[in-house]
Amino acid sequence: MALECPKAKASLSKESAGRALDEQNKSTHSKNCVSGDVPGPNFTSQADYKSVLLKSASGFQSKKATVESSGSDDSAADSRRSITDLPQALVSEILCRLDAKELGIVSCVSTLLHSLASDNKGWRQFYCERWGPPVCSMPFGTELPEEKAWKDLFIEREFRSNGSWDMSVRIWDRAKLKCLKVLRHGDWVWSLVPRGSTVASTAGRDAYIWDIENGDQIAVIGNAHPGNAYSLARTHSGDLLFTGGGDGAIHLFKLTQETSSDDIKPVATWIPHTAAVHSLAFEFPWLVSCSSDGRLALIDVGRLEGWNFQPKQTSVGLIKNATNTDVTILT
Amino acid sequence: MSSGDSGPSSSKQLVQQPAAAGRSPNQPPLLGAGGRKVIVLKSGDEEEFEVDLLDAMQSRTLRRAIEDGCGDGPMPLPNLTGPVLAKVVELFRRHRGDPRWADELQETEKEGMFKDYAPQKPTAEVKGFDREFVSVDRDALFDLLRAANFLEAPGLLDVTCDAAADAVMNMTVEEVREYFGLVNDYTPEEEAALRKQHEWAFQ
Repeated sequence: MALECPKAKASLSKESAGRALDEQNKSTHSKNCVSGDVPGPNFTSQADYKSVLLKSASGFQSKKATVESSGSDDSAADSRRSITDLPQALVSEILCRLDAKELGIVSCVSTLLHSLASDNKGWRQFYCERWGPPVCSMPFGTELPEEKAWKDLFIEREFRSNGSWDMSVRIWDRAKLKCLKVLRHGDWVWSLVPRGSTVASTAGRDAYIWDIENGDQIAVIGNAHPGNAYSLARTHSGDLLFTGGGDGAIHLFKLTQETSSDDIKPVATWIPHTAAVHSLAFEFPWLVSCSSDGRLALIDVGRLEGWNFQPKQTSVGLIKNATNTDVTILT
Repeated sequence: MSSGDSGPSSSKQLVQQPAAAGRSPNQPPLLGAGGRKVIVLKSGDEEEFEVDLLDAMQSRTLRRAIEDGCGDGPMPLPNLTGPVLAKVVELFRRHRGDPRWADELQETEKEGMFKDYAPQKPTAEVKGFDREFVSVDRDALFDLLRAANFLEAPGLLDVTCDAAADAVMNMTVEEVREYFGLVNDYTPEEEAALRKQHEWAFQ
């Protein structure tokens, strides 16, 4: 035992010595910015102090060495700590606990933090948490975003347009040119269609129905589409709502008076496109959609199976993935 | 009589100058109050701390050393000071069974050594302790961070990194620079360009 232990101990201290050396290099760098304040004597690190002194005595850092050795033992031992005393992996660990805005600020602090705060994996995670992984079936064979680009992609979507898009819909009085109501959304507003006393809008992944008079939310359809619900169309009565999303799908939602906004499920879904559906127009019985896959689709809503096209009807069969015979694709 | 004298005095010597004396192979392992095995950690400034062997396992560095058979004498940790080590040992004790590190133990489980170490969700008490633990000044926090890194203790790392991240929340660029003790190594032009590029973060 007594024979084994010194060996093991030696390896432990060697390891720590290696680290100390590593930190020493960093701390010599950081100690150039000694600001002169004296930290509490409780946390002085004698070992580091000595190693720094040894090192600095030999190099061109002699000025610093004299500064340190001239002070009393306790106070000189510890210059102000710097994050550069810590290994970069640890700094990254701290940074990955910050949110995107904080990272933006941190990036302006110094080149070291800038490079650590631009870590691609972290930004990819931000992106995917916010909007989900990018849709793979992009038009024109667009590839997944290249390495390095995640930060840019995230910022592009999250912030760049924020200045002009305040995620609200404003209702104006045309005669008085006065803003009567502001309908606030949790994300960018992509589309809106007024009907009667209500206005429907899509923002982010969600679709909303608002009461124009009092600005109340009548219904919210959460997560209508992965990515974004880009486009919107309504029937004249306003009971039926079509949404087109970044996933290339079109959903048909039925709104009733007693709609509880929690569990509105699409009564029909078409997937005529391989890319985002950016625009929808409806005139009975045709729904026309256009998509960034370069195609238009004509959908005969009147031919929905089991659907007697009477919006007031309450019992509606669920029709998912209506057959393509109802859909005419124009390329 | 002489043998009776030499017994206690030699054991006392063991505690005081353990590195020199070492331990003979037939001695029983050090036992703590509850009859559990304890090890002794020695800080760079020669302070010694008893810590439950299983608690010490929260540190990968210590675990490696213990598995290498180094756990019988005081373990020298030259780059940790007494006050830092005191705090760390306290945290190890409070984090007993904390899933932040105990999950890992399940993988390395040997001979049922950790069977009474079932991971439990951190209780409110532990969370309170964690908050208290990092309510220290900046330099002390950096020392703890460095200790966490050296010891490779996930729970300690988690608590301290969270605290550092919390500290710089809502700070301006200058404040972060000050807090992290960093020099602005940008030219004024570079910094201006960078601020423009990141202006979304300043809104």
